[in-house]
Amino acid sequence: MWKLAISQLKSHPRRYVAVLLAITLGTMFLAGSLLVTSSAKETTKQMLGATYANADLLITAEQDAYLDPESAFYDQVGWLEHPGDLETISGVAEVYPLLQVGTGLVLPEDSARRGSFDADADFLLATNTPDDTSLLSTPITAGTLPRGDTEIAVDTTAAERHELTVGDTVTLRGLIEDDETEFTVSGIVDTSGDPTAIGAMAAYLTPSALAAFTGDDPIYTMGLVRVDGDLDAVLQQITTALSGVATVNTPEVQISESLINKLGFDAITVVLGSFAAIALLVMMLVINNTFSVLVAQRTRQYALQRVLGATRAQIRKSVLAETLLIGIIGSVIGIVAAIGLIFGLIILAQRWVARATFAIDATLLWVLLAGVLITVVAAWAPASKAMRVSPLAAMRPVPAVTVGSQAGIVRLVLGALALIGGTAVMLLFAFHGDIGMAILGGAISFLGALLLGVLFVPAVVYGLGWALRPIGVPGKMAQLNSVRNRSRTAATATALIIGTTLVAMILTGGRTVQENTDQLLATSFPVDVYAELSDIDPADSQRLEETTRAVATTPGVAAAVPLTPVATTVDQGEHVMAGDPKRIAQISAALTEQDAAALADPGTVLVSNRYDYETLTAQTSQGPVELDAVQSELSSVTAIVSTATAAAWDAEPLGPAVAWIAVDDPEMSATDMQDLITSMASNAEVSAGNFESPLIIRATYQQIIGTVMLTVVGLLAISVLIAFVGVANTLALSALERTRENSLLRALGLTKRGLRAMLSWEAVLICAVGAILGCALGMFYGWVGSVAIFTPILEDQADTLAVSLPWAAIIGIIGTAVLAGLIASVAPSHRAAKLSPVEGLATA
Amino acid sequence: MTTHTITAPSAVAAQSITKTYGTDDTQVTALDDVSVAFHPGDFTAIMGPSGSGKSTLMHCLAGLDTVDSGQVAIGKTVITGMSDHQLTILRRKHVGFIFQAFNLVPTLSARDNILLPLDLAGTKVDQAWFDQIIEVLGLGDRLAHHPHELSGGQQQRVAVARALLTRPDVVFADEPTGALDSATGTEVLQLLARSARDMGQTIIMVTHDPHAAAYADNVVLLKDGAIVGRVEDPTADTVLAALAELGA
Ligand SMILES: Nc1ncnc2c1ncn2[C@@H]1O[C@H](COP(=O)(O)OP(=O)(O)OP(=O)(O)O)[C@@H](O)[C@H]1O
Ligand SMILES: [Mg+2]
Repeated sequence: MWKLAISQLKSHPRRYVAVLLAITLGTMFLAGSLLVTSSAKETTKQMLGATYANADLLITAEQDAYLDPESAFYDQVGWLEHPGDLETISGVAEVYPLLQVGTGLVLPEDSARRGSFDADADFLLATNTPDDTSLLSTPITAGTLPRGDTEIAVDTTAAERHELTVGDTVTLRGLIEDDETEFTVSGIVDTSGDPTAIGAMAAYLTPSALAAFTGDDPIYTMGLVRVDGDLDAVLQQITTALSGVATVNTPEVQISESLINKLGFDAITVVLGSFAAIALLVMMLVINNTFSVLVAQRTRQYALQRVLGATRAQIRKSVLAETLLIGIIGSVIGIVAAIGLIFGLIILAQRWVARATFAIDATLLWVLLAGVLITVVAAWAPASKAMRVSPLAAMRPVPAVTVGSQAGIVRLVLGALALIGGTAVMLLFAFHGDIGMAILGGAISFLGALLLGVLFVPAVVYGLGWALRPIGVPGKMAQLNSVRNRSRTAATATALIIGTTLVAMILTGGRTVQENTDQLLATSFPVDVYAELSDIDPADSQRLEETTRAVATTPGVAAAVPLTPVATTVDQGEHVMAGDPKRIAQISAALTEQDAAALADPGTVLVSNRYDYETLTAQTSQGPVELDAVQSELSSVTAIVSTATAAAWDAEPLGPAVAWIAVDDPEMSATDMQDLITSMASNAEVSAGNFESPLIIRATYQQIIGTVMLTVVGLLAISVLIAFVGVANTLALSALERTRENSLLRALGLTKRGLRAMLSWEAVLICAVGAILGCALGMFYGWVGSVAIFTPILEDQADTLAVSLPWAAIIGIIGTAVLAGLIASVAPSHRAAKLSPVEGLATA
Repeated sequence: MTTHTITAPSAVAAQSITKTYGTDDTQVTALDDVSVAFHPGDFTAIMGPSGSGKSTLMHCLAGLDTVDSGQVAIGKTVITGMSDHQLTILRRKHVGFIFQAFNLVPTLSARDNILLPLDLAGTKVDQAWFDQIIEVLGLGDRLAHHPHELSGGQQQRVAVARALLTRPDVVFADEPTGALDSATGTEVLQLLARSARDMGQTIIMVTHDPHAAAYADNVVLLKDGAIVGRVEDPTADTVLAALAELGA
């Protein structure tokens, strides 16, 4: 059976290129996901292990224990200069409590920089040295570790930032007491790879030198043990001694435990894996479709073999062998390519993360199995269908396409049920805000839509094909050819619909979330920027005005108005702010026209629409006052009275005044806002720390959503790519099938260009329809999804959800699909046009 | 050759054309220095043993294939040396084809198949001419049908209609009756003969069948890539005799 299979592959290698490519892409994605996880695990292991790789045992304190200075943990493991009880256990060479103390490394006199610790010192993490330096795993690059209390070994980061070499003098400042100590640099060690210490500068001091910085009861959580006896026995004894206060492990065990517990590698695998699963599903469709075409073309050959005496089982075996072969070749290429790619990326990453490590584990074999299995399963149905044809029937000319076979009807009924039922469930739960059930309903509904694809995809293709009619014969032929084999066209487009639906859904959902960030964050921001004018006496209205004007005249600022707290509401204990209604109204979103007008009435207080009281009692420095409450149209305003109302009370301000500031461009990025705040602060001569902008939160939030969206779309792109391979494949095989007919057209006067155009338009048509239907479905699901997400959030708000359809992106998707269709058609149409009509007409 | 052809221009003419396939040791000379002219309005049959170069000659004359040396002219146009694009454009209006089978585009109706060369050229149909051809060929009630709904004879008639509609300089027919039963074949042959006689259509037909050749005005005999004889006003018997002579 292998002989026949290999001869099939050898005689028409081109027909398999696309299937192989699809399998390769799918398995590469899956293998890549697994390799990313295994490599990330290994890298983290290396980095975490950096601190204690050379220890024989590792002691980790329980939280209760290390927070209690009286705990047995400290007695057993010891303090800096006082060895713990553990050292008396036979076989224990050294117990090394790992203390890390924050200190300030004083900057050189002439440094223009501001320190990270305080004004003139950088933060430096100081660690004690062990008795036996072999416990330290960080390599020493120059000099030695400190041998006396006046020596220090700094890490490369510190050495570079402070331009230190061995023999230099440095000054350390304590965190608790402000006294300073001078040290001589005795050596320079490598920067630790421990991810928990990344970015900080570090140094080693002798235990007695470090003691000066620790305060009375230094807290530490980890001890390293050097063992010179029987490891198991020592582990046993230490475990007993520390029972209840700390755990003891070998470093290997500790690393894997902390990895599993703390880091979400499994989550990464699940997320990447589900995208890989989508890619594999699309791959399966493409394989299935390809084999449908391949074996349809071979129906006669099978029949001939049957007539010549081959049993059905023999033919079946040869087909099985063929699919196995393809599955293995494709999967192996995919896995090898993934290994190459990830290995390359890790090498690249080592520029930034020195310990980045490539790691493979046995799970990759599952990818091979999955790749082969999917290929065989996907190819089996069409192959066995071709084999069921009786030899005589197959020898007769192939009749036109038939719709409505048994399987077809079952499929349509199932599809319709799933589509209607799933959509109903999805909508019902979405409007009740039950996201989980809505997703389930959506998935069923999508499945139904895909099953029904054979019904409506060709219709849409044919319908859109009318747009090609003005092009002439190539356009007309493209339209007619594209619906010649309904199930083939449907399957090809469906592969594309899967990817584009998900992409459009993510984009729609993401855009809607971005546009409705305010509601999602449960706050709408009436004011772009707040500044608490704490440096200014709130009673000094002239300075308040000057400062506010300085802020308002900063380029990029639209308006600014000062408000002063003049009272406290008796019910809520909230400040009542006094401000000029006209000017507050300029802070566009802060007040509506009606609110401003209402506020102008003396004796009124404007309150949030969350409150429904009609009068409000406020406590001023002069005693309580009764106010008429007017509900604002906004929910997020604080209680406000006009300056005139407040002036009548003659009350003292109750705290620092604030400035409400409106900016010209509320959509500005977080960094632009930061810059604007800096210039407002310097113009107004107040500290930048007093400014606060909800816009920064919003911008950051939107940036995060944007990044997530982009990542998800990127991951889905693989599926879309596989679908495009499928389009190219279907077209190539169809063109091959129509060689005679194409040659006839050429003989009758269709130019090479015309022939190429005919095939290209066919591909473009299928791609465009796939993308259009996908986008339509995706926007629908994205809209429903947004409703599901926002319904619980909007429940107690009067606001309604504004769904944003990402039209620009949708046009982009469809444009890309059209372009991809063109690209996919290049090879098949080129090959078709290259064939001379005479040769083509000679083929039976 | 008859005298009246000396002054009249040919519909199709070949001047010393040679065509070889393959390289060096596997080389086959399909056409060996062939010169031939076909007069307007003539119905000519090309005959010869299998492998004698009939199809090759037809393809070269029709501009479907290129010659290695020599020249081919269709009407007043020398087509040798033309680009593939120019040849394709020329074929639309100046050459008609009837093949043995698979003559029609399966996705197009009979009407659209007939109009295909005109659609490709982007020209309007001469409705009176169209109606006349349909009438003669008896395809009136079949125009909306697709090829798989037509019998083999009907399919060939559609192909004939398509070939005639553009009033080409020449219609090439490669064994047009090869796939038909003899009654249907006779019908198609009669149609071709009538087109030549009544409409003045030049027709060049490749055939193996002496009875088919008898419908033609004359027969060109081919052997080993060279023209080895002619039969004027052929009958099945004279053709058979000439062929027997060749085989000897
Ligand atoms: N594409 C090709 N490559 C190589 N040799 C070819 C090719 N086409 C034709 N030949 C050879 O050229 C010669 C003439 O072939 P051609 O098809 O013209 O013969 P024919 O007279 O039409 O034969 P038949 O009556 O069997 O159709 C034959 O020897 C054939 O083998
Ligand atoms: Mg032939």
